[in-house]
Amino acid sequence: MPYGYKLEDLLAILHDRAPTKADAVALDRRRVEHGLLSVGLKIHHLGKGRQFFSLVERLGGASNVLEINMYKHSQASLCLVLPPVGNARAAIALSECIERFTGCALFGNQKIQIQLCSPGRLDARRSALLAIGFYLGSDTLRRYALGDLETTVSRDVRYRRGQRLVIYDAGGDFDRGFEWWDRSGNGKDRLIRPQLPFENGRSDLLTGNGSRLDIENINLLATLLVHAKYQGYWSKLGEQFEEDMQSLLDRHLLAGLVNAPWVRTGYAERAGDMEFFSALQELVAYVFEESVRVKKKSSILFSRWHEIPATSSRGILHEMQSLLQKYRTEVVRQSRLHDKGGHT
Amino acid sequence: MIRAQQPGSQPIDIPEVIPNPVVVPKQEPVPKGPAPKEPVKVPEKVGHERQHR
Repeated sequence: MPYGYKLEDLLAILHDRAPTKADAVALDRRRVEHGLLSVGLKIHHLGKGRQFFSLVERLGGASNVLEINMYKHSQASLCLVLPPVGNARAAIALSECIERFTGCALFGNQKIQIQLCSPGRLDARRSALLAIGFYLGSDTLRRYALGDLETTVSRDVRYRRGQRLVIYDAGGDFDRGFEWWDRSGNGKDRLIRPQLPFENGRSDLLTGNGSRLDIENINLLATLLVHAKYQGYWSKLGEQFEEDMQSLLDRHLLAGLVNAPWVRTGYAERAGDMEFFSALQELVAYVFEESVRVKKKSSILFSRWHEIPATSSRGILHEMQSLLQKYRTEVVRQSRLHDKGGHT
Repeated sequence: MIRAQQPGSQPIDIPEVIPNPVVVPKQEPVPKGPAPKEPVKVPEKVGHERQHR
């Protein structure tokens, strides 16, 4: 990811207006929590982006910081690429430092599009699960126009990433310097490797006007799916998650959605944008209809939704929240068990 | 806002974004402008030490 500056330089600038939080990010920047993946963010500004000018200037000017990167949302005036950090909390804290410095809200802001970058390229099916899981688990339900997903590399002859929620990286710089949780030869013990097992490759998700919860959810989902693909420490949990997601979609007669091209993996699916968009529209229509149904339900049931198991037929939105909760709890539980010297 | 319209009927405004009804929102502060620059803190001992040099 080209960003033309160092995280240390950014934090030193942000320290002026958010000293405590900037110090916390500096301490946590390489810290991997519970074996989850590192997190990179790209901030696309759909307005004029004036609030960012001072920050960009202090980082070395637009030519060093912005123009080094030809990639951005097609309607964005600028795309600020942030260096990756070791965990979702640090990524959120870094965003909050930028909010404080610029005075521009980054979360839930219609003018801001947040792109979350996870290391490792997921295959087509897992990319579908990542995107669907993100959409169902978000605190915001969105309708899309196909143009909302247009970037400067959608049609570029070199990259041809199409108009998708999930897009691959464009090669180039890749920071491997984050711990990767692996399993030792006996398959039981945790082996912490000092760096990621792949030399490059990312799966990015265009969240739109994203939230803190989106960052945490995508980080969890991407970790489970990337570990399942690369046989990392969380691979068994990741495979179990894939089965649970498949069952969830089956129950709602949406299983066919995963066969759509949610990511453009090569040159084969030239006409895949519309096929993907039809699948996305089907998901969106289903979810908006369900949101109306959920709102009509009694507040008593609503307040106790988290007690209902993920396999119940209480609706796809409830079920997705239960799945996220189940896997988040399991990751933390197993991770703490290891910290105390036990096996999973 | 998306506007859906059938001939002969009232147009319906369809929101593009709605809150997920099963997620309880957390209240987070929204910045209204850049925060004022923090004052530079000078360690008290600096002035004191100079006097001794």
